[in-house]
Amino acid sequence: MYALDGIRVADFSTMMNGPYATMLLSDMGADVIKIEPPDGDPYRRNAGAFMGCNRGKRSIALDLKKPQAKEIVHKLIARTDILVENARWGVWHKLGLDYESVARIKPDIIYLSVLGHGSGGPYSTWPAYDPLLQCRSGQMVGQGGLGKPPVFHYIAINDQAGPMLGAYGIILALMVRARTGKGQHIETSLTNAAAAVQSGDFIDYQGMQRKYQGDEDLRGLSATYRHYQARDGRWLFVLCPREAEWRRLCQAMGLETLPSDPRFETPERRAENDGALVEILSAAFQSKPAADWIAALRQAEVPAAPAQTLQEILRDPHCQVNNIFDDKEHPQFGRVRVLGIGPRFSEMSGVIKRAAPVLGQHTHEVLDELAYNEQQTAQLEVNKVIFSARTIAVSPD
Amino acid sequence: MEQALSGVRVLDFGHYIAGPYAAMLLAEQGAEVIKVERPGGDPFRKELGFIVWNRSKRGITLDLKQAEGQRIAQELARRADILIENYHPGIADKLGIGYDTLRQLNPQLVYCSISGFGHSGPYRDLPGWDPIVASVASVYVSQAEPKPPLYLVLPLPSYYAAFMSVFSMATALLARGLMGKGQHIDMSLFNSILGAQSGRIVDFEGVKRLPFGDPQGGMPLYRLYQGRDGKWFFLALGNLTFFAKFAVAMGHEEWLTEPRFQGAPFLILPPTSTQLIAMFKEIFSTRTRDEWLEFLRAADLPCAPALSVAEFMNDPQVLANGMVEVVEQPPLGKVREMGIAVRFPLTPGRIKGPAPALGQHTEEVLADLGYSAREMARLKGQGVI
Repeated sequence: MYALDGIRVADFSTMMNGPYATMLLSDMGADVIKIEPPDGDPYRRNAGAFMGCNRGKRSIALDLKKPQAKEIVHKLIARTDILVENARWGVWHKLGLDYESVARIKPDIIYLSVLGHGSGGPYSTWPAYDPLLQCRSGQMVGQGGLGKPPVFHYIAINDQAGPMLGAYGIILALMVRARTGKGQHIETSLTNAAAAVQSGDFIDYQGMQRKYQGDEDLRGLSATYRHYQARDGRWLFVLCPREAEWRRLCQAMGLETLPSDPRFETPERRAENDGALVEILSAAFQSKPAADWIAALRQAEVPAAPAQTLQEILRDPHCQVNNIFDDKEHPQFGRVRVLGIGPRFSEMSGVIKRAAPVLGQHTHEVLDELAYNEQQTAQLEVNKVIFSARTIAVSPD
Repeated sequence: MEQALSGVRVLDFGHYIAGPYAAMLLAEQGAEVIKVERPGGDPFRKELGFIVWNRSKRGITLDLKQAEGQRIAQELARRADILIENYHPGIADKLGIGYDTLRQLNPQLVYCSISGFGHSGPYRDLPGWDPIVASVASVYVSQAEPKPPLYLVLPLPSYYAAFMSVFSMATALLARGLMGKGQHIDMSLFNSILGAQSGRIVDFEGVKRLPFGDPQGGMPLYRLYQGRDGKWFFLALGNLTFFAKFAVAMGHEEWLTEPRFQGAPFLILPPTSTQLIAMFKEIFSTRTRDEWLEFLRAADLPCAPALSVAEFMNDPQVLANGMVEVVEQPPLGKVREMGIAVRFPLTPGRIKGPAPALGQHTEEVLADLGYSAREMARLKGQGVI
């Protein structure tokens, strides 16, 4: 069985922070219908990234400015459990698809807004993208260092955290609905997510010492918690959480006298002489290729890992064995490899029903389920109310 | 008011970040969380974030290396709905709190293991430290390529594992209602941080990947720029409509049809991207950062100043969202820290109190289990509690 068998999701979200949430629901068995404008989710222009957060879903394309399209949407909502949106605050009010309007069609709907800023507050109607929150929230300054150039994280930090928290919220709301029969409007935002992914730094009290350790060339936090480059040019990350690992590191590297060197005798002394220790270890790591070091350090039970590239991850043995990837045929791109389902459950499985859909791929199928007959559907298509993969020759790429 | 997880009992054997943070997120939606620590305490008690990741819980100490400590843990597990542990795979079994043991005692139990690389596969036994996972998951290389790997200050694998864990535990609770039994969740930092790269870990014929590597961003329409005063801001022209409005506002409508902007907004690739970045750097160096922000906002274009986390904590939007709450946290006094990130009007989340002192609620919890004062004194004497 799937945990969300029979749960229907109307997904009005675009880009990443909404679609990632509905993908998590799809993975757990929900039927997710992505409702797109005639020119599609703008994220389709970045086809790879689009594939990564829209697999498993169905796509219908319609022009919401047309009254007949609204009728279709209302019929769809009437049989939907969950609606997800991430537009700028106010957009859905204009289209009559805000929570209050939707709840009149389907009173127990669970409506998730993954906003940029919030439904209130001074920036609520401003546009938002993940890096704007990276920039405003301290994430870029934290990584680049105070007073130094900020650093842009290539991982869409908040765009990922928001939907994960939003998906958690949806499951909780489903539990509440089961008990009370009531739906609700759940709200999260990139702003809130930006605090949640800095929960260990988003703290302030009288007398607190705040450390800014960032730098645009940051290799680690100390000599025993950083990257080193090996003889073959490859990098590895090494860390010594305790005194025992530090001693074993020295042993494994043939630097047996280092732990008794007065500069490095204690954690405090090592911190004072960190630069000198980095220099000694950097030189020592030059004597072997990275793979040999990894093997030697594993043998010595010192935590160490290769700095893997994307290409290495795509053929990583652990990923293969654990079915971390999902490979499917896509109507436009052929064989597509994306990440599979993250959470692993002992008594139930997840499901990826298909590769990310082509724009409008399921328009006819869904209209059929809504009891439109072929003639009506054809007419709607002629009137450019709905669009199907047939009428959109190739989705924008 | 009733909360989403009212009445749900959670036993939190987590330490460091991911386990405790997940348990806290459950606690604030109504669950009753007991944090179980070894006699020496969670090694992260010395970390700044400890008070946040462990607030809203009760705390007890138990020595799971002693049989009696294991027995108390098992009694607690018998009454729990959820158990969280983030020991290295195999350790929980040795401590008498492995899933196979506890499922016999409590088939309804949702048991969430959070480890570095998961409970199966060749990396199962690798140490699960956050940077080890990030390194293997290509985070540091992808961030900086072709330059040397960049260590990221934020422990993203741990944070995402916490979020994916609460999603998974809630899903398992929901499924328990359908199936009538609990189950084991095998959550890893590795799968979580891979998931956070879903847009990049993709492969098909002809896939184009966004240009990264430049610390301030490799996409000319989506990167950091510096004003004349040296202050930084981010320009995020994330769709073609914004690009069009931008070109008009800047008085350069010709950009919209020029071949060098082909691929806008994200897929303008080197060497064109490098040339455009140089051009925009030049343009943005003509006015101060705040002048640019004002200009861009007037045209409704997405932009933001580079602030520190300390400044963010006083940002009016953050305050309007209620994202800063004050917790009375002994011995620090009043601490400002993150509020509730997901808002539910019917069943609001709330912070229930500060992080417990080590063993603060041991006696209270053992009394609930029916232990007498004399028995507790004996257990204390033996170092079990």
